[in-house]
Amino acid sequence: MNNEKMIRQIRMFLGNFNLVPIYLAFLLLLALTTPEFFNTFNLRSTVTFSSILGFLVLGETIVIITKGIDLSVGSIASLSTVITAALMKFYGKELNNVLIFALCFAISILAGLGIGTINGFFVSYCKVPPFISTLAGLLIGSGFAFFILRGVPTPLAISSFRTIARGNFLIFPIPIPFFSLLIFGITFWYLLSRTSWGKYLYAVGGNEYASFLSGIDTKRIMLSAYQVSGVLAAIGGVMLAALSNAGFPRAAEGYEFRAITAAVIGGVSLSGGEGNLFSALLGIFILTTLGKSIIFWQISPFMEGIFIGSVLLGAMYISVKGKKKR
Amino acid sequence: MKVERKEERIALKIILYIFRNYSVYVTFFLILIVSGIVSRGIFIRPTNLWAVMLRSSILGLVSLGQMLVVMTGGIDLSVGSLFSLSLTIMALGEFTRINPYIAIILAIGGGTMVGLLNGIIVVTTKIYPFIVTFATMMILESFNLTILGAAAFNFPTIQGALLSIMNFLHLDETILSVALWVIATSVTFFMCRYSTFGHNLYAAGGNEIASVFSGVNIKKVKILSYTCSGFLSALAAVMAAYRLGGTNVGAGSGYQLNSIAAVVVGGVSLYGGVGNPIGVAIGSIVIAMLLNIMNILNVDPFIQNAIQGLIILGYVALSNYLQWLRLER
Amino acid sequence: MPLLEMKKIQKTFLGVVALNGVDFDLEKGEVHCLVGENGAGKSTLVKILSGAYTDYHGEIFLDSQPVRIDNPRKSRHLGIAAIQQHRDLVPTLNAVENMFLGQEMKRGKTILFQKEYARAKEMIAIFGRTIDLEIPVSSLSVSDQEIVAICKALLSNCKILILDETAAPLDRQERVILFQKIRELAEKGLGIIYISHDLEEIFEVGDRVTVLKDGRKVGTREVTKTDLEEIVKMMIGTEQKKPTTNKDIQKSIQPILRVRNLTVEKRLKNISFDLFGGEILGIYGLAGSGIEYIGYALFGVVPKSKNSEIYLHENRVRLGNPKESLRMGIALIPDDRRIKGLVSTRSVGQNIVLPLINKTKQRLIPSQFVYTISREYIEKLHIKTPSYLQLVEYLSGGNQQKVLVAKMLVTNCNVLILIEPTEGIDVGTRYELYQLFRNLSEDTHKGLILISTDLDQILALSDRILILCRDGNLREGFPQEWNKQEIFEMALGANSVKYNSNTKGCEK
Repeated sequence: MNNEKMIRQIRMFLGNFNLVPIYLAFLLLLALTTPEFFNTFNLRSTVTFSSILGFLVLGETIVIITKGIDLSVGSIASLSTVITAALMKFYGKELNNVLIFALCFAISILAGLGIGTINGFFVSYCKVPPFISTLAGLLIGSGFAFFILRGVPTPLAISSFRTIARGNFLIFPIPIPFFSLLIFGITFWYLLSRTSWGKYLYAVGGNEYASFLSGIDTKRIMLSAYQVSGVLAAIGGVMLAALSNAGFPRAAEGYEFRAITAAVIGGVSLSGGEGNLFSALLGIFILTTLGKSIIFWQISPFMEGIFIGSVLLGAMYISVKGKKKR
Repeated sequence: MKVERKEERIALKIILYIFRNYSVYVTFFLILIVSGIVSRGIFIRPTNLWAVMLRSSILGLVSLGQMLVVMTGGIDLSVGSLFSLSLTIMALGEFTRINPYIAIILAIGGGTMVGLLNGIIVVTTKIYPFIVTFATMMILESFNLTILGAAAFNFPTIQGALLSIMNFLHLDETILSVALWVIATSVTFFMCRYSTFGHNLYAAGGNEIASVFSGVNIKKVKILSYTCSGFLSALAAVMAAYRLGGTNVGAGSGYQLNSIAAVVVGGVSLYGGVGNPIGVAIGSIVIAMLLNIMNILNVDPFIQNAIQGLIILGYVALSNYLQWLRLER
Repeated sequence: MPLLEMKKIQKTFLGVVALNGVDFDLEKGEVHCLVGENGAGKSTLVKILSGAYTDYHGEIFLDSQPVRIDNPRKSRHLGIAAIQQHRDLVPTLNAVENMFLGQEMKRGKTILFQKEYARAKEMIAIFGRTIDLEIPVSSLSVSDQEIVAICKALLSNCKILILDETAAPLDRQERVILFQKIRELAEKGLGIIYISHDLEEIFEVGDRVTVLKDGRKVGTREVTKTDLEEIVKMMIGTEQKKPTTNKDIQKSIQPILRVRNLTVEKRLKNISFDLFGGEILGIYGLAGSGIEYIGYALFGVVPKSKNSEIYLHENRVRLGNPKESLRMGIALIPDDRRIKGLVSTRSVGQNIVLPLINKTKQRLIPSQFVYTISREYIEKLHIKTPSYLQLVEYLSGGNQQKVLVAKMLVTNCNVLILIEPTEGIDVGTRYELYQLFRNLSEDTHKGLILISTDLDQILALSDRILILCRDGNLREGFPQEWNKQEIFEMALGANSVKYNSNTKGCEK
């Protein structure tokens, strides 16, 4: 009994169970075919990049759980890189570094919250289909991102900012983004599975009308999902700026689809009400590993899109098939 | 009290009807006038209007296909990359030195095939259309990138072939393209009104289950609409090929957004079942004018996109709001 | 002083009156039953109380205080809990999460799952059940789902509890427990509104009963001072004249449709019957027994298993999809016209011709064609519409139903299957349609299959009756043979206690 309970707890925590062996098998295959993949530099960069994308995946998953979709996460992240670069460019010499860093995060988060609010407002209060509403959010975000620095890729003026993406957490050899993703992941896992807010998210995605009848303010719950997604994407964007050491309106172009694909691989159902954060995060690690390994297989990096597209279709197919069986 | 409500409801019904069917014309004239003023007359010069017509005709063809898909309650995000794909196929034709006419036919055929594939995947796997067409878009873009690389590629032979077609028909590029657009729109218009396929298309989009209960072959309707969308995008690419004279990776990238905007402005409901090809044609002109005037005013592409996004959002939100008012009151 | 008082409640849907000046009151500690036929307005009243419909007219008093119920939250806050027919569970959440949805046990912000589980187990144990609390409720059987819904309502500290068709999916034993529980709650001082189609239940649990008919209140009676007969009379209104069947179906003639071993996975098993030309064959079963699947399977909208055999005029036919069925001469008027029947974004004319153009191989549809056909049927069925170009969504319910009937009549099929053909329409239209169906079978010698859960309708229309019993078998007879009570008990399968919960799912 106790054992069963433990297994259930672990399963609840990890979600889609069979992803772990799949990932391990994939890594094993990589180890056998391309051992050169496993150098410290490459591993670090894979983990760091996946972790940063992980922030977008977290938000995307939360939105998908409410039966929505958020196409704007990529452009919010891009906007954040631009905001970061611009703040450093204009105020870097006047203010001290810590203040600038805090400001970068704060203003990016505000911007993300703003776009998320617009998305959520139109989705929940105006009943605009989520992909249209967030497509507009995407365009507005990239419009602003362009507007701020006129579309010029701008390097970050303060080089120490790079530590946020490239440094280690304390003395351990863990990249900071991975560590912060872990903290955020656990926090949101707690919020989603242990608080009524999280439960309402699942309820709204599972059956909006029933939730409404149960006295849940469904519109506010949906709005909050998009807001959280915007904020998380903004945090991811600031880290992306730190990683690439530049701000650019196209910095995270198309990342929304990596996030969606990761969520779908992780078993998050696009028809709402189901999904687990950790398996979605595992999804992004799988996807990034696949993308990185392509280079080692002497395949043109241009073909990454073909891989991601096919993986997305395949994962969707399995998810729809699985739904039908039940 | 009761009578008042009834009148209110009728008034809302009329407003919604007018909005759905005529707002596009209002928008058209508004943009025409505003553009004429803010561009200080540049916009209404004949050469510019001519350019707008060419652009409208190409966008119009793509939007027409988009409309057919949106009417079934789906969406085709792959139209832009289909456009690029056709150009890539022509570039490949040039590169392999096959007969340019065959290359053109292959380009159209290739686009149609991908559209067919979209349709088949959508109906057989029941994956959401926007995911399917998005995946197709990613795959096609990646394919284009692999073939073309980052550089631009010219195809003078293809251009020559297109020119000789025009000479043969005694038509200039714009007239040919506009003529094809007008023909395609009229054919679609008559098909929507007076054919079984048209009736089935509206029914399938309006209420899929009721259509099944009326003997409509939903799968056939959907596959056909995605195929048409592929074909029309490819045709648009061929029309654009002469003016472009070559291709690069981003050649068709704007069309997915532009066509969705044109369709929405043209009064097509994103929930399916409502729409009309004439509205979409005018909608395409509206978007083409908007793009043109923004180019004249030197507005950056990013801002142009943002404005289009706002237009789409505004239209959908407004029509939803009117619909809601009508149903709730 | 009544606990709840509703005065002159009025509610319309797009011009169709659902409730017209209904008064209702509920005392503390009583079980007040609400009965009426389909579309009488019971559910509408419940939805107003639970906050799902907010644009009603009239006044509501709770403990003599006037209140306005704006949304479900307000309703819950006022202490009203409702169990509505399969609507209030979230299919992807598990039983415990559903029970405590909107009323979580929390310490600070954290939900106390352990406590919730323990409490849920306690609640379910009352019903003598063990329900898997960990899996999504969509995987539970219907009766288990119902138990979860009941527990959910019982958990809220409500003053007024509304049960809408709650007992329907439960078996005998569970019903008894439920009724016990209801009485206990009433004794504790709750006011309970109990809605049921099963009139017998009123006498088991009720204190008072209010009868609604066509959106109006017919009257309220003390249960002890009334009997089944009076209630039925009040529900049906004027004593219905029993239509006498003056036709003799000659059994010697060949049946136009023969169905053998019709099996639909999880819904129907080995259904066999014959249909003769010129008769109306009524198929009766309880809600949830899956009778509508007989129609769906014959029309080809749901797949049937391989051993199902269908013969039309002695030729075996496959009927794999509706188009094929239409071409073979089988038409279906589905239940739920909003979802399965009409395309609301299209005009009356376009809706009417839709099956026809798919039946014939005609490719071009001139306007004249749509005009002539729809004109003819608009006149024939007296459809009230300003023009054939009017969108169907603007028509009243009765006229929409007529459009639905018209579009299938147009196909001129020999076999016409009707599933709940008078759902949610006014009495006038109902009798008009009854007349139409009679004429169809008598004058044109078509075979009509009437599939309905409304026993009165079956008795009023059918020449021959098939009853789908609870054990999944069909019983055949003539309306003269049995009385209402007998038929009802057969369908209920009074002898068989265990209800086959597979015949009903929650997805739909």
